[in-house]
Amino acid sequence: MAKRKKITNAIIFVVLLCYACLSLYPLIWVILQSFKTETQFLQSIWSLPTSLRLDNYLVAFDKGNLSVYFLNTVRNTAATLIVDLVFITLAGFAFAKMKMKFKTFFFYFILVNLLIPTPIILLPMYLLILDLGIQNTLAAIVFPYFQGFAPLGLILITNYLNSVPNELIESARIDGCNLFQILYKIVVPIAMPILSTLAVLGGMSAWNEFMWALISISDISQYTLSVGISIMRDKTSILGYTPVFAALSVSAIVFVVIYLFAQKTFVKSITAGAVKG
Amino acid sequence: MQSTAKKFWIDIKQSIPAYLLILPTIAVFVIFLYTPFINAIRISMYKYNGIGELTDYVGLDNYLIVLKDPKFYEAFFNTFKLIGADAILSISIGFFLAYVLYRGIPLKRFFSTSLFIPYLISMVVIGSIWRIIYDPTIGPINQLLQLIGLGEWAQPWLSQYETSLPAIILTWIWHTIPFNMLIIYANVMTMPSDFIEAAEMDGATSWQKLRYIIVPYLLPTLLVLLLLTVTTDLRAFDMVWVMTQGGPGGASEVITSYVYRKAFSSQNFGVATAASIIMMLIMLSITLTSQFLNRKKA
Repeated sequence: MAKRKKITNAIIFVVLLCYACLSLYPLIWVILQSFKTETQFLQSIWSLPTSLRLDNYLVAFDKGNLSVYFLNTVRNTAATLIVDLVFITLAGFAFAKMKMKFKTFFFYFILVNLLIPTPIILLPMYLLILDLGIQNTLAAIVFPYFQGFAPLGLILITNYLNSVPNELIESARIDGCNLFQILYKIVVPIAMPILSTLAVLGGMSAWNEFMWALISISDISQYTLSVGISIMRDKTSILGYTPVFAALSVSAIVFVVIYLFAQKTFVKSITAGAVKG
Repeated sequence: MQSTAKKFWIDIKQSIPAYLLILPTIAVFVIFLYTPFINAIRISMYKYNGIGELTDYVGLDNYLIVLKDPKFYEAFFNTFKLIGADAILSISIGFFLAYVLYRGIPLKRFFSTSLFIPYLISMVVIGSIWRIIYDPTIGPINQLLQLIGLGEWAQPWLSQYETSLPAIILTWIWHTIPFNMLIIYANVMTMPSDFIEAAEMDGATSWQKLRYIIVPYLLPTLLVLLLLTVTTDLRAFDMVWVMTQGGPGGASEVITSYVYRKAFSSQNFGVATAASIIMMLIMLSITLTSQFLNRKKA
């Protein structure tokens, strides 16, 4: 019996090891190719790079426009996160702790978004930003992203703030704090754990978003990383393969690195994001 | 009567600070959700190429065009093949991995970290990487087949009709398994340990523990994952667009890429919007059915 169990465990371990290789190999292969010269790569796709040469990265960032895509994506994500967190904290506090007539109505006014698939909105929204004359501006990215983020964000922050005792806020009010002092001095520090969860969820989706960026951005100098990467493969004829591998490596590694440094926050956030439905 | 009216206005007046706090969110929703949504319903009833005013009213013709288009059904069934494969394979493999980690295994930390990595890479980047992996000449799959003497199996995976959708589905599942694994693992860890201890006291085998304690305990989680799979995969676009753009000849077209093509390649916004509204109705019926079933059970 004990022997059979040992064999089962050994088999499971080998299966898991193979699966781990399958999970990691594509990324590792791409990273290895990114250090090779074009000739080395074309000679053999299995050979290891001879040195850690960064030429491909320089080509990708410079000729491949990766630096532009990166900066745009950082800017878009940062701006989206500010709007996400500020708007949702204000709204979450109002829903959880304040007297509001027609509260349920307004709550579902936002939550109903979960039932509307994004593609429906994208085409008329595209016509809308043309009408408003905000195509290729930050506003045309940030507010649509916030709209997508808000329902889940609101559920999470309202649930969280509901569990905060009212006395805490009452006593601050008695001490003479006004609404914004209460928010700034009491609510934000208490809500830090949930705000970091929301930042991970909102940041990841803003950074990775593809379809709206593809539809709405017409100016190449405003392209995001997603859109830039999606056209990168077609640039192999101009740049060669290896710079494209460099570009793919950098974009793939971003969240892997953040994850390795903040594993707990990440896991907590992704788990929290899955309770909707 | 007057006093209730008065009370109503007092309530409203006292609610003003709260209204001010929700105003930014509500404003974004009016401008960027409700306005486009109402416009979507209007546009779906016009022949419209995206330029100028809506003038050419056609009633429900656009819906009929979509419902009579064999390409739409192809996209529809492809989407459901993706959903089916994702729901069955990804959730069950995710379950297996989570269970193995839960039971304990040497190098557990290494496994739990490295198995999660495919989920941390965006669909666009994964699609681009796997497009190279499937490449007929420089792709590792074909090169490996040649290396081990199975060269005749090498084929242009993404550019032939039979293999393009399965190739995308495989990549898709590769990306979603870690998510399902993580959620199942997080939930099985919340299981009170006396559940298992009591079963062990009664001499339950590990299969019995799995079958009668762990699976029933995780059932609500598995249902949430199923619903998430359906609603996410119905919107599938990024990976498909990057890998094949729905080709060759519609072999890997999904509903959302069909909508995109109708709008931006055929300049047929009316038909595209009608197709997306049909998609919403499918999604609504699935969500509402599942909510209804949940209610009934509770």
